[in-house]
Amino acid sequence: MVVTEGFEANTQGTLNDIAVREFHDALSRDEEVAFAVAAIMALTAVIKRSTAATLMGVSKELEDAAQALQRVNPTNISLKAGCELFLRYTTRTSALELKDIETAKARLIERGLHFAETSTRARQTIAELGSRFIRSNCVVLTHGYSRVVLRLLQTAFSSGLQFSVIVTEGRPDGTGITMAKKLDAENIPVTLVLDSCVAYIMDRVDMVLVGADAVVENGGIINKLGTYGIALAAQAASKPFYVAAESYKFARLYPLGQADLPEERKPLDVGPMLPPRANVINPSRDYTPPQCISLLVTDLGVLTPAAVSDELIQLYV
Amino acid sequence: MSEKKEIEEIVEECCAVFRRRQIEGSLPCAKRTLDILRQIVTNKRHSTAAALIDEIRTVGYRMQVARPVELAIGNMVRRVLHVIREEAKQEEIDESKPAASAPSATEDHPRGQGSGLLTQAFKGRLQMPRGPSLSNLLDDPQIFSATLAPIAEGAATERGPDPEAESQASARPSAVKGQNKKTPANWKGKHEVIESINELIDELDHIQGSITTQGVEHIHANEVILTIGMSDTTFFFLKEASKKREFQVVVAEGAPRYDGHLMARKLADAGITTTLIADSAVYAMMARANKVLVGAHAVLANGGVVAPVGMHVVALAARRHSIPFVVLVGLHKLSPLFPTDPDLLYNEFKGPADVIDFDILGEAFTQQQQLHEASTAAAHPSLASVSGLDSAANPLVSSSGPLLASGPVASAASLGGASTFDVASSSGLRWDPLPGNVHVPTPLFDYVPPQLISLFITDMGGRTPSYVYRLLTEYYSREDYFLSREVFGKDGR
Repeated sequence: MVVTEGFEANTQGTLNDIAVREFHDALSRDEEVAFAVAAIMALTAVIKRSTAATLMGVSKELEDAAQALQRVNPTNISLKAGCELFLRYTTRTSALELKDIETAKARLIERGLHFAETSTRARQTIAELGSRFIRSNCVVLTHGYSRVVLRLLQTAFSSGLQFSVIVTEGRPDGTGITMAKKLDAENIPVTLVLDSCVAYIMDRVDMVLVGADAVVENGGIINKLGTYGIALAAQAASKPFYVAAESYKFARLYPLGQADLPEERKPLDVGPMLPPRANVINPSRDYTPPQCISLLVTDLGVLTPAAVSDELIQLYV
Repeated sequence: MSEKKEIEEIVEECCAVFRRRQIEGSLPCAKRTLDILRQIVTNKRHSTAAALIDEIRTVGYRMQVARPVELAIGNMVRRVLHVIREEAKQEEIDESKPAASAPSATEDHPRGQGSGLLTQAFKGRLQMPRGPSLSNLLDDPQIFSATLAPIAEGAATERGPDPEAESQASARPSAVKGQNKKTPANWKGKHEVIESINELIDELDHIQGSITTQGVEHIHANEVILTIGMSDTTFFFLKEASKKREFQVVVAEGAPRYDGHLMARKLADAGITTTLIADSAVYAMMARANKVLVGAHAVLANGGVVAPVGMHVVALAARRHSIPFVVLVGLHKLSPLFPTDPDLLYNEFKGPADVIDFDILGEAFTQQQQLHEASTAAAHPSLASVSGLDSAANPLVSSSGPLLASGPVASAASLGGASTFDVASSSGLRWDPLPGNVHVPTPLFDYVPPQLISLFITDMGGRTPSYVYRLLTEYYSREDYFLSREVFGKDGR
């Protein structure tokens, strides 16, 4: 008995290693790959190497592997959402109806591989749907760097629309500068502003468009720090606030406020001048509640925040 | 051949009727559209579902373009397309498992049982995957690509001429079948489709009734209900409620059409305590109201509505006083377009006659012309250029024609062309002279954003604006949201 347990733990250990390695590989292979997608690729790799004889066994291995993945990056919500989506899928899929374990595994693998493809298509779908919200001569404000937002703006621009983009700097990691560079490379007129300039510039803005790290159950979003401030400014100025997010970012979280987010801290370079007793709080993301959001452009269609919970409930209940 | 010609004539005639505005109101337009579509399905031969979809779409787009403000036309076309697509999908499922057909025979024809559309939608969801959702994200790749691809491909065709991809997108459900069995003369799913169209027409006939019967649920004793202008649905709703409840109605007159006067008279005739107020008194009266009940012209995909002009002000006043703003609409008015969509033309401008008397206008014109002639005779170029009027381009003519403004907010520039007349700064007018050009735009519609709307009362019950997205997936296929795209693609634009 003891021996078997030890043996199992050992295989599980290797499986977890495989998952983590595959996860990192997927991320480093292509910078376009999102965390959730990489997680699903990693879990697919686990099924490939799995020796379990029952679906229960496979699920158990996957759960362990998912936990191992989350230990690698415990604060990443979209990684968690991706793992949950795939686990849920393996437990409720029609693969369960199949008699043969090997066919069931094969189907799961096939779906896992297919997902990577779906997710790349998702971005394009969002771009197609979302570019209809951009009117000619309008000014779009965006925050930091987001691949979906970039794709959306590219799509709109290449369809012949004339518009300009205001990008926030996106301190502390300055991702807005990357965004500005990429937009400029596409010949889209772009203006870079300080993060603290958002309220000042809001007058000239026609719509706000941001990406999201995760979309939570009530339709709110978790995104780069400063998004909430922008949303409030947009609301105060009655400007529409749109979010572009792939559906695999829908997470089963229900934050009621900023304190409910899993904490993620990054070093802050405040310089040597800081008095020794002064505290520094340096979160990297914030939560924007659904009432600040006009619409979410997702690959499932253009959704109101209320629709997000509908989708999640359908999947998980 | 003659049969085809005949249909062509009917469609053309219908388009002309729409264009000339010989049919007014969304319900008659919707019925007319369905009637035409039924004739096409019944009388013309289509070997596959794809061919039928193609034809309906082309004709539907023509009809919608003939009357772009009447979104109900496009909505009905989309519904019929949705029915056809579902039928084709069902057929494919049936064919893929012919062995299992015996036990599921009853389930396979949910439409044959004369059930309502809602039950159909409900049943349909149980058997078939509804649009893309989180729960089928990882499912069979084909389902997902079938629902997603047409949008992307449709967009691609819009940019570059690529008609093949487009036809494939619409043909996917049955293209394979069409090749395998060499044209069985007529697509066999047609009967079901015709039946569904008949049901739709039936549903339209009863739409008013199913809304008005809910009156008692929404109006309480001794309430004060505020409404604006004339709406048949609202009137019958209130009348029905008055059979069981005692309440008061405040009617804003709805300038410049003043159809609120008619509404007030009809309500009073029905024995309801009625107060008529000017539109400008809406804010003052709102403090006393318990509820605002209005009709609308169309419901948009984000839950906003297009409604008779003046509605936005009423909605804002209601919001300021935290009074529920309830909109009564039949679901034939549900449009999958967003207010920002470039396809959407939602406003229409009428002649200035409602706002200003033609006598005064005429007088102003003769005065203007005399002045103009005098000034040109006296070589006074400055005045002529200020008035910018020459006798050849009489603005009265242009002002009587309709003008469509695109976008959610009609820009001042587009209003300018609508109805311009000049009033010369001269004496002898009954009306105070105004300097330079005076524009008299009279838009028909307002856009009311979703956050100002508390509830929709539809023929299927109460719905909040945030639920509209769900209704859309129930009634339309995503491929049909934009009727124009594939048509443009076909032209090789």
